[in-house]
This record gives sequence, C-alpha cells and structure tokens, in this order.
Amino acid sequence: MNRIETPASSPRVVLVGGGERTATFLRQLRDLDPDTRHLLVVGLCTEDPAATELAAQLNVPHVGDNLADALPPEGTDLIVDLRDGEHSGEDLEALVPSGTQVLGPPAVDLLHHVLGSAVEDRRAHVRKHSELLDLQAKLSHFMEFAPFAIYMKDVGLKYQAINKVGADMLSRDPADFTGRTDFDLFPATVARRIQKFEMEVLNKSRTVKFDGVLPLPDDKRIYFSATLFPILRDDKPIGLYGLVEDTTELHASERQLVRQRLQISETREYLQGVLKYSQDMIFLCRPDGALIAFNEAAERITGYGQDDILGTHVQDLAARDDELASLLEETLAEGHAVRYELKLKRRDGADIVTNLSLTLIHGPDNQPLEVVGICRDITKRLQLQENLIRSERLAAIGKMAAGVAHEINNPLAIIETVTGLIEETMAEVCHDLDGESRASFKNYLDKLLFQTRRCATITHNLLGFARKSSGTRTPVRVTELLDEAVELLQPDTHRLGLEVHRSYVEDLPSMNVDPMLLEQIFVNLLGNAIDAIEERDPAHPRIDLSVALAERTDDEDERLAVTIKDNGVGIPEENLKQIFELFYTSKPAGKGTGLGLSIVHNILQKLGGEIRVESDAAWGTDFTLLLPLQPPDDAAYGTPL
Amino acid sequence: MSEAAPRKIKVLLVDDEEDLVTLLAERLTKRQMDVVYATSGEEALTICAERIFDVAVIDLKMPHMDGVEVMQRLKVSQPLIETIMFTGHGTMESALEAGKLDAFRYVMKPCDFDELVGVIQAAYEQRRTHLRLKYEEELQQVMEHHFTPLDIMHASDELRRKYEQD
Repeated sequence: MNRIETPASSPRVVLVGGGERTATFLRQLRDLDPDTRHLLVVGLCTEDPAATELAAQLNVPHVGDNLADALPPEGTDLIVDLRDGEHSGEDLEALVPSGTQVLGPPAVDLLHHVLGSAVEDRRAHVRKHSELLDLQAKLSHFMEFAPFAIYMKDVGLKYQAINKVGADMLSRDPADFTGRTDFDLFPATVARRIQKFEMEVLNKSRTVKFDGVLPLPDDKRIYFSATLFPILRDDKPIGLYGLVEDTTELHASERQLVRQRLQISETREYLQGVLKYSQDMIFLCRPDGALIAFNEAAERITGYGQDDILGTHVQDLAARDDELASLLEETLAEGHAVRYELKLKRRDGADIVTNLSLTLIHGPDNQPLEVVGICRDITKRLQLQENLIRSERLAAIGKMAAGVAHEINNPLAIIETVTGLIEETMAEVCHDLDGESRASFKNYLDKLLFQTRRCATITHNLLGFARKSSGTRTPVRVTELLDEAVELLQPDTHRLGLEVHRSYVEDLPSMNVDPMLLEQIFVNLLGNAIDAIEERDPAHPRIDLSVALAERTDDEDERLAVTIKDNGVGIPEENLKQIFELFYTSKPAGKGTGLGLSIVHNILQKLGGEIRVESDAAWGTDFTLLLPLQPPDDAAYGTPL
Repeated sequence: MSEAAPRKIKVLLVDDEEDLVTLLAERLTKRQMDVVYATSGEEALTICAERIFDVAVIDLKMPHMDGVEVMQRLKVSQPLIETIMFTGHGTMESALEAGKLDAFRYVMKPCDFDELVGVIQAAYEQRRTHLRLKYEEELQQVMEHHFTPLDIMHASDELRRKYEQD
C-alpha cells in the first residue's frame, strides 16, 4: 500500500533535502491515498541516510547527495526544496534546467499544510471504513445467531437477505429468497397481507408489528409475530428489515389454555344448570353447619329464600331437635350419611318428609371443606304409598268380610225362617197361654226378628246389596243428584233446622255414570254430616255444598270437585286415617255400622275418583270428592266391598 | 181342581242348605202353596222332568251346578216357568237387574218372609199372564186352521190344558 503511485498526469517531483522537514513530507506522502497525492515523486537528493531509507520504503530512488552532484531526472517538473533551516531556495533555481520549477520553503510550508490535512482526511476515512467493517461483522453475526428470523428487503419488497433461522423456519435455503417476493413464495392471500404491512413501513417510515400464519408445504402452519422497520438514508426508506418470531408453540399452548378455560366455564355452567334445574333440594354447608348455598328446588321445598337461610345453621331446617346436627356429625366422621325419612320443617311450619344425604367434600389440603346435602321431598310419595296400603288393606278386609257375610247369610235366613215359623205355630197352637205370656213371647220373637234383620242389613251392605244399581251409565247432572240426596234427607234437615248452602258453578259438564252409585255416595256423606251436626248441636247448623271443575294438571282427565262441608263435631286428627276402614264408626252403638264411608271409598275407587277430608273440632268436617267425567267402563256394576 | 178353592201355586225350592230349604217349604206350604224342594241342581232337574211348576226359587251359589245353570236348563224343559234367584252373593245382583239373566227377580238371603211370598205371587201372576197370551195366540191359529166346531172344541180343550186355562 505504501508504493507511491500517482496518475500519469501528476507532476513529476524531485525532492531535495534531508532532516526533519524531508521525513515529515515523506511520511505525509506515505499516509496519503495515491489518488489524492497528486504528485509523482521520482527522486530524492540528500545526504541524510535516514531520509534515504524512508524514501526507499516509498520506492523513491536516491538520485544524489545534493543537487549539484545530480541533475534531476529527465522530465522533472518540480524541485521541492525540503532542506532544514532558513533559506530562500534561490540557490537551487540556478542549478535546475529551465522549465523546471523550484518550490522554495514558503511554498513548501504551504504544501506541508495541505498534505497534512489531506493525510488527516485519509486517516479519518480509514477509521470510518474499519468501523463500518466492524459494524458489518457484528450485523452478520447478529443475523446468524439471533434466535429469530431476520430478513431484509429493498423498496421493491424483494428479499435481499434472510438469515438461516428464517430460511429454516420456512424449510428453504437462504439463497432461494434473494431477489424474490412473497408472492413467489406464499399463497397470494398471505403475500398480500404481508405486503400491506410492508408497504405501510415504507410509506410511513415507521415500525409495524403484526401477527400471522404461514402455510407450509406439508400442511403444517406456522404462527408468527413480526416486527418490521424501515432502513432509512437521508430520512428516506431504502428498504426494510423484518424480525420474525415463531409463535406456533406459544399459540398452541395459548389455544390449549383457552380451551381449558372454556371447559372450565362449561363445567361451571353445567353444574350451575344441575343446581338450578334439579328437582331435588341441593345445599352446601360448612363443616360447622352454616349454610352457604341453597338451590331453587330447596327454596321451593322449604319455602325459605336464599337470603333468609344462608348463614343459618342447617339444623334450623330440621323438624326435630338434633336430627340434622347429628347427621352432620356422622357425615364429618364417616364422610357420608343418609336418612331415608327425615322430617324437615317448612317456613310455614308444615312438616315435609325427605330422603336426605350429606357428603363431605375435602379441600386440596385434605381438610374438611364443605358438606353437600341432596334431599328429595318424599312427602307426596309417602302419602300415595299410605293410600295404596290403606286401599289394599281395605280391599283385603272387604273381600274377607264379604266371604264371611255370605257364609252368615244362610244361617241368618234359617233363623229368620224358624222365627217366623215359631210365630206362626204359636198363633195356631198356644191358645191356652194367657195374654201376658203371649205378649212377652211375641215381644221376644219380635226382638229376635229385629236383630236378625239388623244382621241382614250389615251383611247386605257388606255384599254391596245396598246399592240398588241399575247398572246403566247415563249422562247425569251431578248437582241435580246432590240436590236429590238432600231432598231424601229432608226429614232430618228439617228436624235440626239445618240450612243447606249451595255454590254450584253453572253449565258444568255432565258425568257419565250410574246415578245410583253417586246418589249412594252423597246420601252417605250427607247422612254423616247430619249426624255430626246433631252431635255437636251448633247454634246455626249448616251444610255447604259446592260443585266445580277440579283444578288439574295437563295430563289429567277433567274431573268435578264436589265439596260437602258441615259445622258438626269434626273428626279428631288421630281418627282421620281410620274413617274409611270397615266397621270403624264414631257413632253410638246401634246407629253406625261402620260401613258408610267404606262403601263411599269403594265406589269412588271403582269410578276412578278420589276423596279428601279435612276436619277440625273447631269448624267441622269438609269432604271433597274428585269425580272423573268418564269413569272406566267396568265401574258400572256394584260389587261387594 | 175345584172352582171354590184358589189354585195352589206350584213352587220348586232349590237350595243346598237343607235346613233352610225344608223350613222354607214348611212355611210356604202353610201359605197354601204346593211346595217341592230339592237340595241340588241335579235333583231339581230330575223332579222337573216329572212335574210342572209355576215358580222355581233357586239358590244361586250351589256346588256342582250353580243356580244360573239350573235356571237355564229348567227353562228349556218348561219355558214359561218363572224363576226367582235366591242369592247371597253381591256381584250377581246388578247382572240380574240389568236383565242379563232371564230371571223374574232376585231375592237376597236372608229375606223377609212376607216379601218372598209377595215375590212368588207376583211371579205366579206373570206366569198366568204369559200362559194366557200364549193360549190366545195359539187358539187364534187353531181357529184359522180348523174348520169344524168339533175340531176347534177339541183343539181348544187341549190348549186350555196345556196352558192351564180354567
């Protein structure tokens, strides 16, 4: 690099001198770029060996010790006087041929100065150049080792470079990219989207970030996050850099997270649905018994709202002392506990029978966390079960009674016949007896006959004889039949001064039934009402009759509700369950047979109807009959109990 | 059969309860009825092959042959016999009333004796009516098919005997 070469047009120069000034000049020349020297040094005249050596390094030949000894080489344009000390240099002008100029010390100083600054410029340039190389090295190192894809494009959005990470990401060779655009590499939709962002970078000279998906040939896809920024020169974009991070894994885990969150929220919604729509009462309480959750069914079953009940002790729901508290204790000890018939108290004070289970839930620390209670209201089921058992028992008793009655009828018929025979025989043969004896015989026989008839009445009732059924179904107006039954009992109502109040809904549909069956029901119930009123003897004896359509649920057939209400003695609660039983009677001996309500019950069962009773010593008794408008076909004929 | 004495009602009593059937027979006899009794359906049918009855009182529930069968078979041999079913069993009541069985009436056991007598008399009256109608009907046919007064006299005598017209 130190070879001094100068364009041919440069002046040919011979240096004369030695010492400090010469050395400085040579060094300046050495440091200058040949292009900027503008001088071609063709020789040096000096006695100074150090200068000679320095000149030799620059390939400047030594042409003599002084100018007097050595003529300047042919074609020398300029003699530069570099001798140290104060002198004008005019002595040299005499020695050189004409046409050769001599640059004396004043001009040489100027030259020194010019060369010095040129040298400085060159040094700065070299420094910058090396800095640039450094930068280039660092940049390519960065591109090669950065853990994300980096690419560079020109303003035509053609790839100029891409690093290995970037090429690997797309399973290509880095060389594939150079000079190509995204339209050559990706589907148009993808390329267009990238183009949009890159144009924004170039047009607005700003950094842009975006996320996207790149399809790969083997049906895979890469999720990425890109940062683009412009390469500016003089505030004008000349290209752009793109930094691209592969976020596929991140994306997958994010998606999994979202899926998990969705699953959690679905599970929560599902559980909330279970709680909300469950017909069973579900509640949560803490191990200390404080209620912390209460579902809608629980509100419906107990009558308590969430606000009333949350925070109170679960024991407060129980009808009896300690029953729930002890169940809770059992649960805490065993993990689970069940009661099949546990009584709870509704808010309105009514008892409900439930099937209740408690289960302990442990927290993550394996400590008792909460107790979940699931509870089914089985009050209605128990009632139905009770009714069924009662009906079955009544049927069994009825069957047995009918059998017994039938067997008794023959002996009764014989007793009756014999009694009649005795009476007749006596009338024929006992003329000798005195009148008194005959009267008492007659009296005894009358009693015998009367009691036989009484027995017959009972057995006939048991066998269903009392129902003089016509066996034919006709459409009947229930209100008319009820009025007829009242009419039949008029002697009694009149005697007691009893008022009958009617509240009949108008235009009720008629019922297709054997009228005798209904009339027997009404007569029996009204007869009981009259007896009950007579026993109590209230100031204003009255019977309230009402007939209306029964409330019904969708799946039920239409039924009539007939209510017969009296203000008589009422039925004590403990007796209510027995009133339909055969031979149960509260009436004085000889008055009630204990058959009336059994027969009513039996007829209703035949008709597919129902009877309900409410009674209280304070106000009397209220019988409600539910009668289907179309009883089943086989209900026409009377049968024994 | 004299004109003065009222005609005795011929009654057949059928009941497996012997005490009842004998005592009832005794009592009905006292009421001027001509009573024969049988203690089984088979016996009743044997008797009926030999004799004609106005009214049969038949117990419904008997072993071997029940009252309904006895009644149906009696009606084959004596179509105009009136039957009264003597019953101690409830389920038959309605069926009888509904006219499903061709009985005059049913009577519950035990029954008031006078009521039974009344029912037998009513049944007898019905039989008389049926007999007269039948007699008149057939007499009409005789009148149409026989031309000499002697023929008609003979035929009507026969009919009068057949249908017990005095």
